[in-house]
Amino acid sequence: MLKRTPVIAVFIAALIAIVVVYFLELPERPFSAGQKVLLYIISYCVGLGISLLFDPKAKETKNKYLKINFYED
Amino acid sequence: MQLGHVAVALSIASFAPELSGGEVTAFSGESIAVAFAAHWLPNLDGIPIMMGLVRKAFHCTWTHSLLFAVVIGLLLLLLKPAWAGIAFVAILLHYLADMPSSVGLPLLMPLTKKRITLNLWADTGYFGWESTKGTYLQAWTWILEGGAFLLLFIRAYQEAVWPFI
Repeated sequence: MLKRTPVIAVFIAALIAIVVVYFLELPERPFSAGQKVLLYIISYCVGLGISLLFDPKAKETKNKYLKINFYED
Repeated sequence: MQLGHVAVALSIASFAPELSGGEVTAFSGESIAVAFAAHWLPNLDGIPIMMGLVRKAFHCTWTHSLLFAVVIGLLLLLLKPAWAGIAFVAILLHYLADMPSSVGLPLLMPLTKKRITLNLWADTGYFGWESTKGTYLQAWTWILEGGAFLLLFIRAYQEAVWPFI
Protein backbone atom coordinates (compact mmCIF):
# COMPACT_ATOMS: atom_id res chain seq x y z
CA MET A 1 0.00 0.00 0.00
CA LEU A 2 1.32 3.44 -0.88
CA LYS A 3 1.84 5.93 1.97
CA ARG A 4 -0.64 8.36 0.44
CA THR A 5 -3.49 5.78 0.30
CA PRO A 6 -4.57 5.86 4.00
CA VAL A 7 -4.10 9.65 4.04
CA ILE A 8 -6.41 10.18 1.08
CA ALA A 9 -8.90 7.85 2.79
CA VAL A 10 -9.04 10.24 5.79
CA PHE A 11 -10.49 12.97 3.59
CA ILE A 12 -12.83 10.71 1.62
CA ALA A 13 -14.16 9.30 4.91
CA ALA A 14 -14.83 12.81 6.20
CA LEU A 15 -16.76 13.61 3.02
CA ILE A 16 -18.87 10.43 3.30
CA ALA A 17 -19.60 11.04 6.99
CA ILE A 18 -20.62 14.67 6.32
CA VAL A 19 -22.98 13.58 3.52
CA VAL A 20 -24.60 10.94 5.78
CA VAL A 21 -25.06 13.42 8.65
CA TYR A 22 -26.34 16.17 6.34
CA PHE A 23 -28.94 14.04 4.57
CA LEU A 24 -29.97 11.48 7.19
CA GLU A 25 -29.64 13.02 10.65
CA LEU A 26 -33.03 13.70 12.21
CA PRO A 27 -33.28 17.09 14.00
CA GLU A 28 -35.13 15.50 16.94
CA ARG A 29 -32.49 12.74 17.27
CA PRO A 30 -29.04 14.19 16.50
CA PHE A 31 -26.04 11.83 16.48
CA SER A 32 -24.02 11.77 19.70
CA ALA A 33 -20.24 12.26 19.58
CA GLY A 34 -19.69 8.51 19.96
CA GLN A 35 -22.08 7.73 17.12
CA LYS A 36 -20.29 10.24 14.91
CA VAL A 37 -16.97 8.55 15.71
CA LEU A 38 -18.47 5.17 14.77
CA LEU A 39 -19.84 6.69 11.55
CA TYR A 40 -16.40 8.06 10.72
CA ILE A 41 -14.71 4.68 11.34
CA ILE A 42 -17.17 2.93 9.01
CA SER A 43 -16.82 5.71 6.43
CA TYR A 44 -13.05 5.29 6.65
CA CYS A 45 -13.38 1.67 5.44
CA VAL A 46 -15.27 2.86 2.37
CA GLY A 47 -12.78 5.71 1.91
CA LEU A 48 -9.87 3.32 2.12
CA GLY A 49 -11.40 1.19 -0.62
CA ILE A 50 -11.91 4.22 -2.85
CA SER A 51 -8.33 5.37 -2.35
CA LEU A 52 -7.07 1.78 -2.93
CA LEU A 53 -8.59 2.02 -6.41
CA PHE A 54 -5.72 4.39 -7.22
CA ASP A 55 -3.06 2.25 -5.52
CA PRO A 56 -1.02 -0.01 -7.85
CA LYS A 57 -0.32 -2.46 -4.99
CA ALA A 58 -4.02 -3.31 -4.74
CA LYS A 59 -4.13 -4.00 -8.49
CA GLU A 60 -1.03 -6.22 -8.14
CA THR A 61 -2.76 -8.22 -5.42
CA LYS A 62 -5.84 -8.70 -7.57
CA ASN A 63 -3.73 -9.83 -10.52
CA LYS A 64 -1.77 -12.22 -8.29
CA TYR A 65 -4.93 -13.96 -7.03
CA LEU A 66 -6.52 -14.02 -10.49
CA LYS A 67 -3.80 -16.49 -11.52
CA ILE A 68 -4.75 -19.00 -8.81
CA ASN A 69 -7.57 -21.51 -9.17
CA PHE A 70 -8.66 -22.44 -5.63
CA TYR A 71 -11.14 -25.02 -6.84
CA GLU A 72 -8.79 -27.50 -8.45
CA ASP A 73 -8.58 -30.85 -6.64
CA MET B 1 -17.37 -10.66 0.62
CA GLN B 2 -16.58 -12.02 4.08
CA LEU B 3 -17.35 -9.81 7.12
CA GLY B 4 -19.74 -7.78 4.99
CA HIS B 5 -22.17 -10.73 4.99
CA VAL B 6 -22.84 -9.98 8.67
CA ALA B 7 -23.84 -6.40 7.86
CA VAL B 8 -25.95 -7.49 4.90
CA ALA B 9 -27.81 -10.10 6.98
CA LEU B 10 -28.49 -7.60 9.77
CA SER B 11 -29.62 -4.98 7.23
CA ILE B 12 -32.10 -7.52 5.81
CA ALA B 13 -33.37 -8.09 9.37
CA SER B 14 -34.01 -4.34 9.58
CA PHE B 15 -36.47 -4.66 6.68
CA ALA B 16 -38.26 -7.67 8.20
CA PRO B 17 -41.68 -5.95 8.55
CA GLU B 18 -41.69 -5.02 4.84
CA LEU B 19 -40.52 -8.52 3.82
CA SER B 20 -42.88 -10.48 6.06
CA GLY B 21 -46.09 -8.49 5.58
CA GLY B 22 -45.70 -6.95 9.01
CA GLU B 23 -45.54 -10.28 10.87
CA VAL B 24 -41.88 -10.05 11.94
CA THR B 25 -40.41 -7.05 13.77
CA ALA B 26 -37.28 -5.29 12.53
CA PHE B 27 -34.10 -6.37 14.33
CA SER B 28 -36.04 -8.91 16.43
CA GLY B 29 -34.34 -12.18 17.37
CA GLU B 30 -36.60 -13.96 14.88
CA SER B 31 -35.77 -11.61 11.99
CA ILE B 32 -32.03 -11.80 12.69
CA ALA B 33 -32.07 -15.61 12.98
CA VAL B 34 -34.01 -16.07 9.71
CA ALA B 35 -31.92 -13.50 7.81
CA PHE B 36 -28.62 -15.00 9.04
CA ALA B 37 -29.63 -18.61 8.42
CA ALA B 38 -30.92 -17.90 4.91
CA HIS B 39 -28.05 -15.59 4.04
CA TRP B 40 -25.47 -18.27 4.96
CA LEU B 41 -27.42 -21.20 3.53
CA PRO B 42 -25.71 -21.09 0.10
CA ASN B 43 -22.28 -21.46 1.74
CA LEU B 44 -23.22 -24.76 3.38
CA ASP B 45 -21.85 -26.34 0.21
CA GLY B 46 -18.46 -25.95 1.92
CA ILE B 47 -19.34 -28.70 4.44
CA PRO B 48 -19.44 -31.66 2.02
CA ILE B 49 -16.25 -30.29 0.43
CA MET B 50 -14.44 -30.19 3.79
CA MET B 51 -15.75 -33.70 4.57
CA GLY B 52 -14.28 -34.88 1.28
CA LEU B 53 -17.66 -36.02 -0.05
CA VAL B 54 -17.56 -33.84 -3.17
CA ARG B 55 -14.90 -32.10 -5.25
CA LYS B 56 -13.80 -28.52 -4.50
CA ALA B 57 -15.41 -27.43 -7.76
CA PHE B 58 -18.80 -28.07 -6.12
CA HIS B 59 -18.44 -24.74 -4.24
CA CYS B 60 -20.59 -21.94 -5.66
CA THR B 61 -22.62 -24.15 -7.98
CA TRP B 62 -26.11 -25.49 -7.17
CA THR B 63 -26.48 -23.55 -3.91
CA HIS B 64 -25.62 -20.35 -5.74
CA SER B 65 -28.27 -20.62 -8.44
CA LEU B 66 -31.59 -18.77 -8.72
CA LEU B 67 -33.31 -22.16 -8.69
CA PHE B 68 -32.00 -22.78 -5.15
CA ALA B 69 -33.36 -19.41 -3.95
CA VAL B 70 -36.76 -20.11 -5.51
CA VAL B 71 -36.95 -23.64 -4.03
CA ILE B 72 -36.08 -22.41 -0.52
CA GLY B 73 -38.52 -19.50 -0.89
CA LEU B 74 -41.35 -21.82 -2.01
CA LEU B 75 -40.62 -24.34 0.75
CA LEU B 76 -40.83 -21.61 3.37
CA LEU B 77 -43.97 -20.22 1.74
CA LEU B 78 -45.60 -23.57 2.54
CA LEU B 79 -44.07 -24.04 6.00
CA LYS B 80 -43.74 -20.50 7.41
CA PRO B 81 -44.97 -17.80 4.98
CA ALA B 82 -43.73 -14.92 7.17
CA TRP B 83 -40.16 -16.11 6.73
CA ALA B 84 -40.32 -16.73 2.97
CA GLY B 85 -39.77 -13.13 1.86
CA ILE B 86 -36.94 -12.55 4.33
CA ALA B 87 -35.19 -15.79 3.33
CA PHE B 88 -35.65 -15.24 -0.40
CA VAL B 89 -34.19 -11.72 -0.27
CA ALA B 90 -31.40 -12.91 2.08
CA ILE B 91 -30.34 -15.60 -0.42
CA LEU B 92 -30.55 -13.22 -3.39
CA LEU B 93 -28.41 -10.67 -1.54
CA HIS B 94 -25.90 -13.43 -0.76
CA TYR B 95 -25.59 -13.93 -4.52
CA LEU B 96 -25.27 -10.18 -5.08
CA ALA B 97 -22.54 -10.03 -2.42
CA ASP B 98 -20.66 -12.91 -4.09
CA MET B 99 -21.01 -11.69 -7.66
CA PRO B 100 -18.17 -9.11 -7.49
CA SER B 101 -15.78 -12.04 -7.05
CA SER B 102 -13.90 -13.20 -10.15
CA VAL B 103 -15.12 -16.78 -9.73
CA GLY B 104 -18.69 -15.77 -10.67
CA LEU B 105 -21.94 -17.57 -9.97
CA PRO B 106 -23.85 -20.01 -12.21
CA LEU B 107 -27.13 -18.23 -11.47
CA LEU B 108 -29.02 -19.90 -14.31
CA MET B 109 -28.11 -23.51 -13.45
CA PRO B 110 -29.30 -26.01 -14.64
CA LEU B 111 -30.08 -24.14 -17.89
CA THR B 112 -26.47 -23.11 -18.29
CA LYS B 113 -23.26 -23.45 -16.25
CA LYS B 114 -22.06 -20.03 -17.44
CA ARG B 115 -20.79 -18.04 -14.47
CA ILE B 116 -21.91 -14.45 -14.09
CA THR B 117 -19.45 -12.09 -12.41
CA LEU B 118 -18.95 -8.36 -11.85
CA ASN B 119 -15.19 -9.13 -11.55
CA LEU B 120 -14.49 -6.36 -9.03
CA TRP B 121 -12.10 -8.48 -6.96
CA ALA B 122 -10.12 -11.66 -7.45
CA ASP B 123 -11.41 -14.76 -5.71
CA THR B 124 -9.15 -15.85 -2.84
CA GLY B 125 -10.69 -19.22 -2.01
CA TYR B 126 -13.44 -19.86 0.50
CA PHE B 127 -11.69 -20.70 3.75
CA GLY B 128 -8.68 -19.78 5.90
CA TRP B 129 -6.18 -16.99 6.53
CA GLU B 130 -4.94 -16.78 2.93
CA SER B 131 -8.49 -16.20 1.76
CA THR B 132 -9.11 -13.46 4.36
CA LYS B 133 -5.79 -11.70 3.76
CA GLY B 134 -6.18 -11.73 -0.01
CA THR B 135 -9.73 -10.41 0.23
CA TYR B 136 -8.84 -7.38 2.35
CA LEU B 137 -5.89 -6.34 0.20
CA GLN B 138 -8.27 -5.46 -2.63
CA ALA B 139 -10.04 -2.13 -3.13
CA TRP B 140 -13.62 -3.13 -3.87
CA THR B 141 -13.78 -5.37 -0.79
CA TRP B 142 -13.43 -2.29 1.40
CA ILE B 143 -15.87 -0.25 -0.66
CA LEU B 144 -18.65 -2.83 -0.70
CA GLU B 145 -18.15 -4.28 2.79
CA GLY B 146 -17.76 -0.77 4.23
CA GLY B 147 -20.87 0.22 2.29
CA ALA B 148 -22.78 -2.70 3.81
CA PHE B 149 -21.80 -1.61 7.33
CA LEU B 150 -22.69 2.00 6.46
CA LEU B 151 -26.16 0.82 5.39
CA LEU B 152 -26.47 -1.13 8.65
CA PHE B 153 -25.44 1.97 10.64
CA ILE B 154 -28.12 4.03 8.87
CA ARG B 155 -30.81 1.36 9.34
CA ALA B 156 -29.95 1.00 13.05
CA TYR B 157 -30.26 4.78 13.41
CA GLN B 158 -33.57 4.91 11.54
CA GLU B 159 -35.01 2.02 13.57
CA ALA B 160 -33.57 3.48 16.80
CA VAL B 161 -31.84 0.30 17.95
CA TRP B 162 -28.44 -0.03 19.62
CA PRO B 163 -26.24 2.05 19.54
CA PHE B 164 -28.93 4.63 18.83
CA ILE B 165 -31.25 4.01 21.80
